[in-house]
Amino acid sequence: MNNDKKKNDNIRYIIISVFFIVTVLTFTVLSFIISDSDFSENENRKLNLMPVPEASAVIYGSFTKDFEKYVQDQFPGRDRFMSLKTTAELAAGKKDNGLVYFGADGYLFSVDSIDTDQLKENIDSINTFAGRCGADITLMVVPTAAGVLNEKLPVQIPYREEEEAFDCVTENGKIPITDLRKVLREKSDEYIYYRTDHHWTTLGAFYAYQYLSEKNPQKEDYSITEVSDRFLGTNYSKALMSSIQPDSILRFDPKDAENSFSVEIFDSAGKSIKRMDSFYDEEYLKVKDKYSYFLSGNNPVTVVKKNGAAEGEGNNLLVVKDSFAHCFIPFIAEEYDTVIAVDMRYYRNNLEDIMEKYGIDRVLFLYNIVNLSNDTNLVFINR
Amino acid sequence: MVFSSITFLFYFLPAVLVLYFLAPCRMRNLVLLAGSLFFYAWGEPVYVILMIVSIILNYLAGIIIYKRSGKAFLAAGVCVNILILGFFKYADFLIETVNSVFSADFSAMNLPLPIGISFYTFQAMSYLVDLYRGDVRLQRNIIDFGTYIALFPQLIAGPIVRLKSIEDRLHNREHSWEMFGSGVKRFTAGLAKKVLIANNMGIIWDSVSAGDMSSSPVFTAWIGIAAFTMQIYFDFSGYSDMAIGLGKMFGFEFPENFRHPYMSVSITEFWRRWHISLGTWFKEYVYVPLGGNRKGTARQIFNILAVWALTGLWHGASWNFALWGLYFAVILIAEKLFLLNVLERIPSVFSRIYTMVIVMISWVIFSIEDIGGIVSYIGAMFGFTDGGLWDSASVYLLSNNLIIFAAAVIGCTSLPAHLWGKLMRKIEYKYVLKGLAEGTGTGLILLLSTAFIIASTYNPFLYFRF
Repeated sequence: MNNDKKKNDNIRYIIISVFFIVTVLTFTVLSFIISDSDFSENENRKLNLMPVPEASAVIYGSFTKDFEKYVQDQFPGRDRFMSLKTTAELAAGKKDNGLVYFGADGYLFSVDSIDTDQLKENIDSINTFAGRCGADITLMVVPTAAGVLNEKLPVQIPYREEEEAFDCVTENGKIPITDLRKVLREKSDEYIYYRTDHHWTTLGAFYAYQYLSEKNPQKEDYSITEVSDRFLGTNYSKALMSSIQPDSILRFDPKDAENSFSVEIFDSAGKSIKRMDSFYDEEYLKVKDKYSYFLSGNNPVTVVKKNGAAEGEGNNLLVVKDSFAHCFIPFIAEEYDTVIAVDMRYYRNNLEDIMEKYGIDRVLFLYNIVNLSNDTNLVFINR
Repeated sequence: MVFSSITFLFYFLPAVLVLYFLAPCRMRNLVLLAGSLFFYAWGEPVYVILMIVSIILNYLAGIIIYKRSGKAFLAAGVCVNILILGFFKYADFLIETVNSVFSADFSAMNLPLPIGISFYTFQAMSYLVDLYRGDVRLQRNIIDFGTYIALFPQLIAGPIVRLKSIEDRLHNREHSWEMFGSGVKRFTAGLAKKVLIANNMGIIWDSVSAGDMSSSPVFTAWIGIAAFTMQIYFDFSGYSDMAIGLGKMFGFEFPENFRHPYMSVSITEFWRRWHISLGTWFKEYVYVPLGGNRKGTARQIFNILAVWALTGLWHGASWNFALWGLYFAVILIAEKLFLLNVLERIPSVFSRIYTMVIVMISWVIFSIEDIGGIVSYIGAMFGFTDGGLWDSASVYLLSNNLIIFAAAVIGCTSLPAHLWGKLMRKIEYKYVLKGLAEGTGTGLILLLSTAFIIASTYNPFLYFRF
């Protein structure tokens, strides 16, 4: 009997052992079968590949470290494991995962930090620039989704930090400031921020334009087209949830389309790198980074020209901006002959050259509050 | 290499298991030794030489002590180990201390600490002493002896296994599905403790301790140290579980290292349940040889202070660890003199609270290196702060982690093991069902832990956040 029991109990331990061995070996074998990929769309970065076992790298230990990075990056079902982790965190009642807050109605809000000292420096840089260049200057600051849709947040902390940052901007800025908080909060029941991305939607940008423009534009003046309904943005990449509703991307075209535009992109040295005959780069709708549909993403200098306008004449606008401007510029472009958008994170030359070349007398600084407070390149506007 | 890594779980472990069980019995220790040296070299390519030298020196010391049986040879052997440990672990600490006391200016050597050196030198010393005392036999086979010193399951985080407890198994192991299967269960449980609980508790502690304690609310300070209290237990005991589990897979029975220490009703009891193999080591090789409690109260108090200063410094070459050890010495002495009598008379809920508060304060001393930081943290815990009692951030910190805190608190009691045992007894004769339940659980925990390991390496590169 005792022997019998032992034999039967053996079955239990065989089953446990087999489950363990099979689980482990499945992934070991899969990792050998599946070929390595060199890029992760979700993380938007190059993945580590198999390191070369050079003698010095092995002896000093850098080979083994690189090897660990390699097997982690190439692990089979990496994205699915990431989404399993999010599922487990939600089941455990977590309200954030350190990178995003899990908000109401399918909203993900990025966990941001505000650097008040840097923010003051940046405002000072803009003040100095305004005192120096003599053009008509406006600073337009876009709140984050967390600051506008704060009732969807699981906690009010990020919203309060952002309020303090806005206070800092209004206290220190010596230029006209367009504070978009009130305008956008009035529309907070509309689809003005993406659920899965940190940007505002085209509709959000439209309300900002409506507030800024003297022409009193109305939504009815535009024909609105959905160009994608499967946009999964940066906040999704930080949580990789399996059950999430993708965002849709809208495009606003004026109904009485009198004007056509051409867009030319330059690198920091002033060399033309791309030409488009519209604001929109259809190629990006096929990849993950769909927000780059607007103006072809982040570039040092983007020149938007109303067809038929001559260079260096007429009514021209310089926009010093981050990517929040990308879906905003198609609206404001209607009011100018040329709009020159400069991204100080990539542009390393003198702004005055551009101002002279295009005969600029109006400058719009358009920044999201988080970028305005963290960007370390704004100082270069006074170069 | 750490156990909770993709490299270990999916490459090293299966490879060693396959080689081990394919090898004929007499070759198996060689496989284990080679695997262990590879395991060590993976993280410490150069220091593996130190490990090999240490094996050879202790092997030869053993032979000399056995043949000559003189106390002087034992002393020499122990000194060599202490010198190795002292040079690699404490030299810079001594230099810094000398510099600050005498305003001298000796430059530090900045040697990286060889992983596991505190564990394997302690194992080697226990072998030499036990050999001298006649408690173990002379190890004549250097492969077997090397396997004992370098054995990868307990190499980097213990338990400190004395040869005495595994001597028979070292030379002659029987393998059974029961050994292997229960090893798998134990290993997986340890992995979950480390990856699912300890790491997440670590995130909370890191965020709290990074803040300025002079303006931290009282509540936040307590949440922070509660998180560290859970982190260190689940991390350390999780590693011990993984070591014991791996040992079983390879046919060893290592001694238990933790027995639900946070259920203790006194610090005396706590130290019988926390890191048992270290406490036993110091008791056997320092406290008792110093005279223990046999030479009067005054001598006993001195012995306790000496043992605990050393225990503290064993945990790290920094003064806060010595302070941490002495803090426990003072409390242990107080308990011996009168407190234990009091603790036995009051309801156990009060003695448990007493124990946990003492332990949590000890973790502040343990985890913060500079004395000023320790003082301001403990100050914040007891209201010496400008942050008030709580704020919305501290409420969020707790509510965001409530379930995982609850799981941790329940998990450090004997309740889960008790309930699982009860459930298994209910289906006593349904062996297949038992196996399926535990097998599925093991598989799921492994997958979930893998998800958290992978996620910790998941770095959305944020240039596109602009």
